Amino acid sequence: MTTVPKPPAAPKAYYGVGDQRFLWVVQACAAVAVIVILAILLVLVTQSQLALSTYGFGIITGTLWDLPAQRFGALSFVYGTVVSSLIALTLAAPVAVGTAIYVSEYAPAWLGRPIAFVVELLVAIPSVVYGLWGTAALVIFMREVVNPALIAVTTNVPFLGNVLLRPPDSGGRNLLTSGVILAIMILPIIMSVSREIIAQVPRLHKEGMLALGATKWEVIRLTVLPYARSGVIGAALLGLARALGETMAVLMIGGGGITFEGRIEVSLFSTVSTIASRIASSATESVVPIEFSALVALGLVLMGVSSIVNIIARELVRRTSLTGGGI
Amino acid sequence: MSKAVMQAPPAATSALVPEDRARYTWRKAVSAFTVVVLVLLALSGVGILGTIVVNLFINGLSSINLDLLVKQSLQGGILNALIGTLLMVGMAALMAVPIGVLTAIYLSEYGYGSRFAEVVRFCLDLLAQMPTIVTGLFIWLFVVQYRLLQPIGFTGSLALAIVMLPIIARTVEEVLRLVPGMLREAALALGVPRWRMVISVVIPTVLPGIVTGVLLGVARAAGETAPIILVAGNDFINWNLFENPMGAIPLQIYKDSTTANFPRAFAAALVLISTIAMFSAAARFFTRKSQVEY
Repeated sequence: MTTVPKPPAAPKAYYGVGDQRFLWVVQACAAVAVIVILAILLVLVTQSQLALSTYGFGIITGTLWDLPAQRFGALSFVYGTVVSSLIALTLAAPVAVGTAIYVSEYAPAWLGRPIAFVVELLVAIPSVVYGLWGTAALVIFMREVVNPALIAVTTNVPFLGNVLLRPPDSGGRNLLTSGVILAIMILPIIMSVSREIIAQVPRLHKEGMLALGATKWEVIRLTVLPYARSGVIGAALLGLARALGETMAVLMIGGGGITFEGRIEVSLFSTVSTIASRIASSATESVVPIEFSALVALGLVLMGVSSIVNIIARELVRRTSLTGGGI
Repeated sequence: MSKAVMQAPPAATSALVPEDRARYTWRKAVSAFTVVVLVLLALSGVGILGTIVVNLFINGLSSINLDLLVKQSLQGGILNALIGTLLMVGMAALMAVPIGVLTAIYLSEYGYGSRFAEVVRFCLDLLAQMPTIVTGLFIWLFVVQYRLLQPIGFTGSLALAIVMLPIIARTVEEVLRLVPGMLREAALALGVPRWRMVISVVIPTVLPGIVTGVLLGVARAAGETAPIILVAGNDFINWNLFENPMGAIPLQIYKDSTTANFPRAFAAALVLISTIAMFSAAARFFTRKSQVEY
């Protein structure tokens, strides 16, 4: 693993004053990250006390977010966050993993390398730019083409037509469009991490299968996929974590805005706020202490959930990949 | 047709009984079918991303002009946002780069088998993946609840520095680990103290790699909107980080797209993504340069 040798067990005096001080300096700098994390936790926990002690779990499970009535239940934002992220994952994961397999196993180098390069650059594109493209192009495309088609197809299907995809369409800025833009945003990250993972599959495994007379697909199904499985799942979870915490794209495309009678709208065609977009749209406007405290509590929940998803994802990726999959 | 396929590897197929032949044809058909599926998936994935890139460039190029770059927001330009982003990201880098690089030195040179190093790595991972709105909220709490910070450019820099720190620290640590142990041992064998060894042997060897980490951190921070949407935002030119809020390019893009001022938003987006792409490409160049061979 590491190439760094264990420091020689020399007597303390050997290191001298200079070494001791240098160690203090670098340790102090390393402590900054720990201090920041602790400070964030401490501040969020203290500042959300008011809301948490008033509503308890009602912050998450309450269905009404109503300032005049002093009710702060964020279930509609939780629903928006979970559903938009799941839509994103469902749409993005197959495409991203399929592309990764194609690029690393089938595509000739002259085609695969530029694709991999561009995809890696796309990982760096800021979410506000995706949000802009979504507002200017995707929202209109969904409103004019995709949503009418979906409504036409599903209108008589029991659950889909009257619950999940119940018209009217709120003009393209809705939960479904948010899910689609999140899918596009997490596509590059899932793609590039899975490509790195798939590239780690030992050549000998594949050649062994080929020598046994396996077809190309059998090689992939029986050596590449089993070897890369946990890493690819990890890549997908990394994408999911990114989607859960994404703020700008949903703020720009969800059409949620600042309303105080947020109720649960199950339909994918209704406007949406996620936890993150709600914090962004309300935190600066909020002057009521308990509302602000409720927003901080939401921030705490968001941090906890995305941390858990990320820790699992990193563990899965690390288990497969020697290089950490570039994360 | 099936006969032609069968003849391809004669030695193997001659031993096949008819049932096996049918099976072999079926397996080949499945393999061919999956190629089609994978090509379609790859086409749709690359197609969507390609469409977006082309769309952004065409829209950006058609609406960008010099006028835009020299006027401030209210006169229809993005100059104040450009200045704000440069200053805030620059200030954030001034804070995050030394701390990040020294953290990386601790982790790679002193952190071997240390509990504290494990904790630091874990915290850096947590920071790296934290939703940036939480970082913004954290800083915003210092502004409105504790009143320790004002809504000024510097506060935005603090938020961006938190975003940059883990990227710089982890990237630089990865690079420091590539330095061959032999180099370190050679320096130590000459009687050089450890800290001198780090400063005059390890760091110069991986300088390009450190540049990579810094470039990646800056590229990431330049595009961040969520952490500064709460603490910054101004339509006027402001050169002073410590007084009054500042504009920022991502913020300008956000505002313009909510008010449907798309030409300026696309122009600003073009400026932003070309800068970020340049930084990322430079980072790759320096990574390649830092791969030392001995």
